[in-house]
Amino acid sequence: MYCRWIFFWLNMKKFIRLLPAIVLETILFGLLLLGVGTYASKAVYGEKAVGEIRVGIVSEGEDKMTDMLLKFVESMDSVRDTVSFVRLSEEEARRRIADEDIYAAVVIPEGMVDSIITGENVPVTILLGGIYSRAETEVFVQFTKAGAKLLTTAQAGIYAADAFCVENGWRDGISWTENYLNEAYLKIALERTSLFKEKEVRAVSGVGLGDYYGISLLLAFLSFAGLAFGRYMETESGERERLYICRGLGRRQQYLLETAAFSGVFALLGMVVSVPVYLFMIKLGDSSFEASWAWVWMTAVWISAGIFIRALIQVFGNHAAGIGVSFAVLMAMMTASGIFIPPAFLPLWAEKAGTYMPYPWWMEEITAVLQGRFDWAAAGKIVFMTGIFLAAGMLVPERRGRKE
Amino acid sequence: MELEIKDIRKSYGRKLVLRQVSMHVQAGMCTGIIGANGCGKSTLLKILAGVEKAGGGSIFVDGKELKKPVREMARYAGYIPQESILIPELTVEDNLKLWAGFGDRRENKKNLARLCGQFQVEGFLKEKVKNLSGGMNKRVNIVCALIHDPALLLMDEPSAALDLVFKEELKGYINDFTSRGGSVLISSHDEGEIGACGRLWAIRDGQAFGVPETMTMTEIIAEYMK
Repeated sequence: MYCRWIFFWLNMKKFIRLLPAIVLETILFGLLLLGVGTYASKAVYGEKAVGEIRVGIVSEGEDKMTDMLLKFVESMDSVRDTVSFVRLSEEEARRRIADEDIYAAVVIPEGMVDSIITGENVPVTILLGGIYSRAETEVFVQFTKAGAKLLTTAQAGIYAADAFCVENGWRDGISWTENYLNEAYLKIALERTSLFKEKEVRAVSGVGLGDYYGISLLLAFLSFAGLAFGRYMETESGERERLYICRGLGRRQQYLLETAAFSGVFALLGMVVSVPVYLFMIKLGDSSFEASWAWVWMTAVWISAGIFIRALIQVFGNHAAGIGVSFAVLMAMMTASGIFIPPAFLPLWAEKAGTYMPYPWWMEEITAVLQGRFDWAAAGKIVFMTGIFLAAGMLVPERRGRKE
Repeated sequence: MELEIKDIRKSYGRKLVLRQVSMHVQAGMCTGIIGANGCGKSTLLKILAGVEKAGGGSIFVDGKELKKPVREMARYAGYIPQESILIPELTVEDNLKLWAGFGDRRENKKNLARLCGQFQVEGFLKEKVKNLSGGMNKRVNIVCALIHDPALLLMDEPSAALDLVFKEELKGYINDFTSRGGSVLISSHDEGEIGACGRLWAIRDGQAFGVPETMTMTEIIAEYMK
């Protein structure tokens, strides 16, 4: 019994002694990531932040129908939040695109609406600025593609409705039916933009943006710190570890005791770093957090995260593969779980996969605890997942050892 | 302690390292194992230390066959491998505490105090292992191996890459150990260490051959080390 205690204690001592170097490494690594992220966001977003998309409308000739259509589109909530339109001449539009004052311009030919009704479909020209962000360009292209597709569909639908009205003797109702269908089709075409208003676009609900990033970035930072410990963990059974076995301290016991020691130190690091940060956020005033003794439960979350990181490194069997692959796995999990960008922007399969990963569960529990509650559902999932990873860390290397 | 091994076999995958190794280690004597690089000297020592499992064969201690050699040899043998078994991030004191924590703590504590004096480790207890010189590191490894007062000492090239002073001290310690009735089995390429052994065995082609006492060092090298 004593040898287990001394093994646990000395491993804890080892990890505690490594803390200053690890934290420094993680800060440097974080700065490197920040640099990469800043460069990447500039490449994607350009020099301008994604905010309002300003679009010029060039209407050739005076077309009341076209005006009405544009006024209708502008008035829709979902468009108004994202896009603002400004009426311009073509010459002025081109100049302002060049000056980067507007993002793009839509040149609407005279009689466009009539041409849709008659089936002539005179095309609309879109002028795009060449040096705006790729993200905005992509958003706008998607809008226009969706709009163009839908107009074709709408046209067929409206013709079908007209025929239906005629066949059933409802000629008086044609005008009302066409207006209704036009409005309905336009709403459907622009439904996606309502995502921002109606759907929670974060991994965790019920928490403001500042609080959300306060939790997620700290979790990410500490996860990378945990990985930095990786090269000091015993993943392979060397002579020292085999001599421990000869002395009565089996491989599984060694793994469990080292994991317990590492998780304990990781939890200590987690609490020491996160508690002051969250107290500071409360002091700033705009936070839903409440200081309480429930925060002690955060220790359990950090322990779970420590066990997860330890298991990842153990499963791969050597430091280089363990740390490298663990880093990739952590990045994929964080992305799918919505730490960097809201999961609603990801493909559906990725968004769904993210809900089964540890990160949202850790974040849910931390959020609950910081708000003075305890989330039993998240706690249950965390306990279940931690058990699986503990078992994997024990059993996978054993299978590998038998094959060897 | 008298050690007898019979028909020990060991393979790593398809590679047969030890075919049919039989040898005898007399009580109170230093026995040497020699052979070319990669012939299986270290593997044999690891099997005797319990670090590796043999693919077949038997081990006898004082005439009694060991049923579970891996666990039982740990009681009898102290093993000093080529690589250090110390945790580099911890101090010498912490490492010694860890090894003293296995088995009878009280006896181990007494032995530890004696061994630290004997191997002049006392002045380095607060030093981190990664800051130790090669010689001091090896001394601490030897102390760890001897904490539980084994009757058999297994040494795998103990003075490799170490200075002459340490080699002389080691010879002195081996003599002291064997004079108190302990047995030593040492694998070595060092002429001085080989010369100090009372009996030599050579490993070649996976088998052990007793080296005649009349052979000179030059003849031994020519016959068994190439």
